[in-house]
Amino acid sequence: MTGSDADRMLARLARADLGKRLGFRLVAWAVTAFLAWSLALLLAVALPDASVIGLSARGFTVVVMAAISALPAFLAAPLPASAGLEAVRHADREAAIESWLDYHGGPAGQMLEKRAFEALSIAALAGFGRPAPGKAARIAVKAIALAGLVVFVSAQALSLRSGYGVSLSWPDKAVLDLAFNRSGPTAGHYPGIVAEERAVPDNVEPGLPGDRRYAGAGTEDGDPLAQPDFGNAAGGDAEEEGSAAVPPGVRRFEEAMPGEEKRQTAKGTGMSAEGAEVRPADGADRSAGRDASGKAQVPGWEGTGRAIDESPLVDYRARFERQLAETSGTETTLGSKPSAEVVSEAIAEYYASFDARVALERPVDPGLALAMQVWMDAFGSEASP
Amino acid sequence: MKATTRLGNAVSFAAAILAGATLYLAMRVIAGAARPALAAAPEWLSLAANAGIEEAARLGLALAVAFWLRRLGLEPGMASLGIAASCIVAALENASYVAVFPTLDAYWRLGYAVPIHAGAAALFALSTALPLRDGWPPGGKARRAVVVAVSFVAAWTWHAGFNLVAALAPFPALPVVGTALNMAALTALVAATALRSGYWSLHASRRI
Repeated sequence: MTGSDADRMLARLARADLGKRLGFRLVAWAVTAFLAWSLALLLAVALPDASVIGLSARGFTVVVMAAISALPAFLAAPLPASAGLEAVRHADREAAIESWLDYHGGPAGQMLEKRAFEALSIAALAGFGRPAPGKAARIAVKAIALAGLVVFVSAQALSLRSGYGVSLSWPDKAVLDLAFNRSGPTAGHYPGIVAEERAVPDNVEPGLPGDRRYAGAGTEDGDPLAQPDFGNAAGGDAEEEGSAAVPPGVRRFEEAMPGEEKRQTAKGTGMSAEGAEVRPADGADRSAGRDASGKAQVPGWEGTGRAIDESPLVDYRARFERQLAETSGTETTLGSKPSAEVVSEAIAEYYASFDARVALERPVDPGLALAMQVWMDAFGSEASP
Repeated sequence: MKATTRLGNAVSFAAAILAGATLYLAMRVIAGAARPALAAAPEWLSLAANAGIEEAARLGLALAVAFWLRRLGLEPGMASLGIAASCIVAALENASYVAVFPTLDAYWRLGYAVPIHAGAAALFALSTALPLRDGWPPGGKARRAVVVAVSFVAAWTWHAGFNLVAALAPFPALPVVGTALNMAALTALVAATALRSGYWSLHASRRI
C-alpha cells in the first residue's frame, strides 16, 4: 500500500458518492418532466385551444421541451460544501480517513495513511454506502411521481373518452371537430340530398365513441338510420310497427314456411338458426330473399330475373348513406332509388376534405430563411415538416 | 434551520429563473442593437458575432453571481445556479424557435441549444466562482482573470462552431454527432462543477 493507493481510493469514494447523488437528481428530473408532460397532455385533451389555459400544439411542444431542458439545472443544483466530508464520514465510522485527511507532514502520517487505506478498502467492498437524500426530498420525489401517474392516467382516460385514442403527444382535434361541423357547408352546397339538421341534445357530447354506430355495427331499436328505407320492392311501403329489423321479403318468405322450419329461420339473413340455408317448403329453386318471380326482396339484393346477380352494391350504398348521416350529423334524403349521379356527388362531397390543402405564408427572417434552406438542402425530405 | 435552508433554496431558484429571463432579454436586445452593424457582414461573421454576444452576456451574469456570492458570504457552489438561469435561456430560445418553425425538427435543439447554453454556464461557474487548485496558474487575481478569459474563448468557440456548422455546412449525421458531443461536454462540466463545489473539502486536503 502506498499513499497514492489511498488517494485513488478516496477519489473513487468521491466519484461514487457524486454518482449516487446525480442519480437521485436524475430520477427527480424524470418524475418532474413526467408530471409536466402529463399535465400538458391533460390540458391539451381537456380544454379547447381557444381557452385561456388551453394548449395549442406549439404550446404543448414548448412545455415538453422546457421540461426536458431542465435536466442540467437538476443535475447541477448547488451541492453543500460539506458533501465530500459527509460521504467520508458515512464510510468511516472510526474517523480513520478524516484523521488522515487533516494530518499533514507529521511522524504519524504513515500510520494514519495505512488505517485510512484499510477503512477505504472496507468501504469500497461495502459499496461506500448510499448518500442519504433528505426524507423530505424522497417524499417529494415519490409524491411527484404519484401525481404524474394520476394525471397521466386521467389524461389517457379523457383522451379515450373524447375519441382521440391514446395520446402521447398533442391530440389532433381538427378531425373530430371537422366531422361534427360538416352539416353546415354540406347543407348549403347540396340542399337536394341533405335534409334538415337534427337537433343534438345538450347532454350529448360530439364525437363520443359510444355515440357512433358505424356500418356493420348492428341495429339499434328506434334509430331510423339503423334501417334505411329502401321501400318495398313488391310495392308495399307500409311496414308493420316493430318489424323494422325484418325486411319485407324475408317476412313473406317465413310466412310461406310451415311449422318448425318457420321458427328456425333467422331474421333477414335467409339462413336458419344453425346456419344452413333455408329453402321454401314448396321446394322451388329460389334463392333466399327472392320471390317466386325471381325478384330480390332483401335490401342489398335487389334485382329482377336470374340475369341480375346478387350484388352487395345496394347494401354498400345503404351503409354509405348511414355513415354519411352519422358523421355529418344530418339525415340524408338520397331516396329509395338514388341515381348514380346523386350517389357520386354525395361520395365526392363526403371525401372532399381529404383533398383539402391550405397554403400559409408568414414573413420569415432572411437569415433564418437562408439557414433553413441550407438545412433543407443538406437533409432533404428528412428535414421537411 | 431546515425550513430556513429550504426557503433560501426556493428564493435562490426563483432568482435564477428571473436571472435567466433577464439574460435572454439582454441577449436579444444586444443582438438587435448589433444587427445593423452586422447587416452587411457575411453570414459566418454574423453567426459568430451573435454567439459571442450571447456568451459575453452569460459571462457577465456569472461574474455578477460570483461577486455577490463573495459579498454575501454564500457557498461558492451556489454559482451553479447560473446553469439553471441558462436553462431558462435555452427554454425561451427553443420556444421562439418553435414559434417560427413549428416542426418536430425543433426537438433536435434539445441536443444543441440546451447543452451549449448549460455547458457554457457550468464552465463560467467553474472559472469565476469556484475554488481553483493552488499553484496553477501562478498569481492571484491575474490567475483568475486568465482562467476566465480562457473559459470565455472556449465557450465562444464551441458555441460559434456549432452554429456555423449547423447553418452553413450541415450534414446528415450532424444532429446525432452534435448531440453526442454536446451531451458529453455538458456531463463532464456538470460533474466537474459538482465535484469542485461539493467535494472541495477533499480537494482542499490536497489528497485528490
